Amino acid sequence: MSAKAARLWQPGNPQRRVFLPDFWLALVETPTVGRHRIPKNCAKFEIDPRMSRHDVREYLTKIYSLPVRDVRIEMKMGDIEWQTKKDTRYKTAMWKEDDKKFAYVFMSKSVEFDFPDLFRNADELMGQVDKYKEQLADVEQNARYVNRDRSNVGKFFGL
Amino acid sequence: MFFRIINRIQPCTSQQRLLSRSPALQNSLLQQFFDDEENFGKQELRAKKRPGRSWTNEELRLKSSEDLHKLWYVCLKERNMLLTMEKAHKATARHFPNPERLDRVKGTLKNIEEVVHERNDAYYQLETGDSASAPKRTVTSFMGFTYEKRAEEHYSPPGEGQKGYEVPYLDDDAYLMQKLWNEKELCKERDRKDNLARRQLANDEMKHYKRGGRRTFDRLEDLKVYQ
Repeated sequence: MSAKAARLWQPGNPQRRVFLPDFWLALVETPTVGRHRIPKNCAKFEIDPRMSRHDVREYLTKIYSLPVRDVRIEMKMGDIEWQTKKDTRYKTAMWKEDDKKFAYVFMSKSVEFDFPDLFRNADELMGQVDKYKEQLADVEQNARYVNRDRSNVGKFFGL
Repeated sequence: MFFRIINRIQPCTSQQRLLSRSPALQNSLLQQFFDDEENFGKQELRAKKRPGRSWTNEELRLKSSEDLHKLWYVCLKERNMLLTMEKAHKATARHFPNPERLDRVKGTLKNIEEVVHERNDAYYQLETGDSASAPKRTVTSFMGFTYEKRAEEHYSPPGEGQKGYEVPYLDDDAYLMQKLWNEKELCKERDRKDNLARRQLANDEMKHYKRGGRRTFDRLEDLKVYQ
């Protein structure tokens, strides 16, 4: 049914079909200069760690109808926070970030893609915090006076 | 099968996003991954652009399976778009406007899954008498922990001693392990309660002068926690 319940494939059975895929996938910006830049017809995605390159290809061609030519996968290990960084012999890990999976998707040569400038006309950063405080003031006021003891009232009167 | 009905439909493409008003992203195939250009660089979206809430189970139950299938893909694309925007904002150390949008979409996806499962379950109950959800088995591990485990498919039947069962009476090692484990849990709980009691007794003056609290209690009523 979904990607969560995989059935074993038996010879003679039809191919596995996913009707409600729950994979996620996000487009990531890449640098335009330097050795990490990528060709114009290529896009970098951060993908669900369960996805294989075949999954990425199927996902993008079937759902997004992109002209995918090739998919390359990169696995990036999360940073480890050591208790004692310099001690090479007896250091112990305190925390490790999750590993990330990236896909470099090559499309047909005719496709050209530039990551748009999302923050071209961004609002002023100044006074941002005050703005949020103002926005949250009402919510906090409500939360202070809300009556959560509604065991007998029922669903009709809202949350 | 129930899903054969919805097999024929192709996942819908979101027409709204393809018809972008912005000239910059008009030719790009990857515009589906970005928010409406009006929302770029905004601290907070206008009230009309914000979603109110996710679809509830009651509403989704009224919809046909085809509609649910379409709605799933719409929400999936929306979630990918929001994740893209969120990551772009995080990469430049900015505040992602209206992050509750992601929660709404995720809530809808969860509800759709629940409703589809309900229908699938009803079909299986009617046709085969079994539930559609994966069967569970109660298994005892080698350390003596008994837990519910989801049954898995295998290509061949399990060999000698490979299949796990629930064990009513534990043998030596597992028995000792459980004894020690329970003792440890009991000690943890006792220490937690002690700490809680000490924290409740502490007043501002004690905190300020780093003075310890009372150590012995003659009567149980003096301890607030155990009341």
